[in-house]
Amino acid sequence: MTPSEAYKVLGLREGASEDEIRRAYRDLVKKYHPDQYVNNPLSDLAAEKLKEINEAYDVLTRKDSRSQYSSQSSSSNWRPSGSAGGYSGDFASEFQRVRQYLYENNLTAAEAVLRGIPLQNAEWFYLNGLIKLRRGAYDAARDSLGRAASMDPGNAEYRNAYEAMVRSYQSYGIQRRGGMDMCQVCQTLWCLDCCCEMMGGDFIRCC
Amino acid sequence: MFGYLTPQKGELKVREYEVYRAHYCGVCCSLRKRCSLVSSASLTYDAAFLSLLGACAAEQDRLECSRCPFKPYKRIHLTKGEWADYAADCNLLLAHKKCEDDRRDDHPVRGAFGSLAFKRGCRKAAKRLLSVLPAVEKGMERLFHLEQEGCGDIDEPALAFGEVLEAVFAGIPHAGKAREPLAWMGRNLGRWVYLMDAWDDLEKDEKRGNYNVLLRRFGSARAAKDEKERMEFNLLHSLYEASTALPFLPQGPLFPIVENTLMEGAPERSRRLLAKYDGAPCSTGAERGTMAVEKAVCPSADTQEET
Repeated sequence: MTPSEAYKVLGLREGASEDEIRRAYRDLVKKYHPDQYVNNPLSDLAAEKLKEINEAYDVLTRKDSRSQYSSQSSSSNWRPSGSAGGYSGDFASEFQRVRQYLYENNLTAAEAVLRGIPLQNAEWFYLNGLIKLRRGAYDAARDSLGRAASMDPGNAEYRNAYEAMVRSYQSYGIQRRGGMDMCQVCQTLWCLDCCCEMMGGDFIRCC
Repeated sequence: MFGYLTPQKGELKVREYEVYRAHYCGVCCSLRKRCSLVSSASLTYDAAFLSLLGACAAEQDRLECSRCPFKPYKRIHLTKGEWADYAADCNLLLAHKKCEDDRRDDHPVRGAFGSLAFKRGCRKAAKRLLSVLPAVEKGMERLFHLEQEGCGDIDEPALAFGEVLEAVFAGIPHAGKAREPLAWMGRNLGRWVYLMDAWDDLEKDEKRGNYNVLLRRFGSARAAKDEKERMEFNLLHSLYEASTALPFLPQGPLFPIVENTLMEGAPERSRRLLAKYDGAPCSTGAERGTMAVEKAVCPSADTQEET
């Protein structure tokens, strides 16, 4: 990648300062971070984009070492981890197979194996929820993940999956442009008063 | 399509609003050219958004000055381009499908008229949309079967409609690299639109005895209204998933309008629609209303008897 291409990837004009480069890089990484693309078919595209951004950053900062952010962080791989997630109970090998199919994104096979497991425990509901989520059946997915989290409240994996789903919608589209709160109003009035007094006038008579 | 996808006008720049208007007028003009003056009545905001999205993905936009046949005294801007034509074709196709649907269930007259008005235009549009058509028809057919069966699962029919819009969004010409994100966006927006419509029509469908997935799922309109939190999740989560496609679109001058529509216009619209039944006397609450009236009447009747 030539430097001019690298500038383009980061959305900067040529000859931007180091500070600008760092800031643009950080913003872009935030945008395409794999955490945003868990259980999302666009995760491969995001990883690709992140790789390109890393490359551009490396070119511009002339570092030989790899950049801070890898495109595949271990916790945020959109596929559930290959290990059984610490699950070791009845039907452990079947559940392991479901996870493997999910990892390969073979939903039909994963669903078929899962339907064959007669034991409906927290792990079953968790995996069922993930399958539904991948299929786009969000309503059923939320119910299933919520059930898994309530059946085994100590399991961080189940809880995280459920909370990520709930968090996504609660803050969505709420405008972040805050108006002035009371504290800021008081502060402004006080500043105004000080300035007026400095110039010989007064804005608030009593102080 | 139903016209739920609108930008939050107050948050747009004046220039952006004009561009949005130009796309709306552009699709309208294209509809008139392709079908008839009457057919431009079927134009929805969703089609304007589709045209805008296409122009945004291809990073091309050309505005022209023209006059509106409905307001000939006024000069307007409009876009001319493949995306306006594509959006007009999709609009025709979906409007025709909707009329056929109407004819099949509850509005035989209105449906027949609409179906007749769009028939020629739709046939021509279908020829131009050969790549999109099979997937759209498959999704529509699945939706029809689900409705016939009286499916009570929220996800199934919403997904079927999602597939329809997925095909429509993925078929946007010259989308290039953005095709996959656009398809994902369409899929989730389809889900959102379907559920918005179901929530919007709760009372009407209950009164007329039409199919409504929420009525099937929860039993009655009143029970469905108690599930507002679930609906909020379903609507906003679909929008959230759709919005994950945004970073993959070219960040050109049209991008802020698309972003505004998804991040502000659509959630605002959802929240407003969700609040539709708050406080207002609901029609299953028509019974509640009559009960209140009876109670109010009874004591006076008693007192009359006593007197």
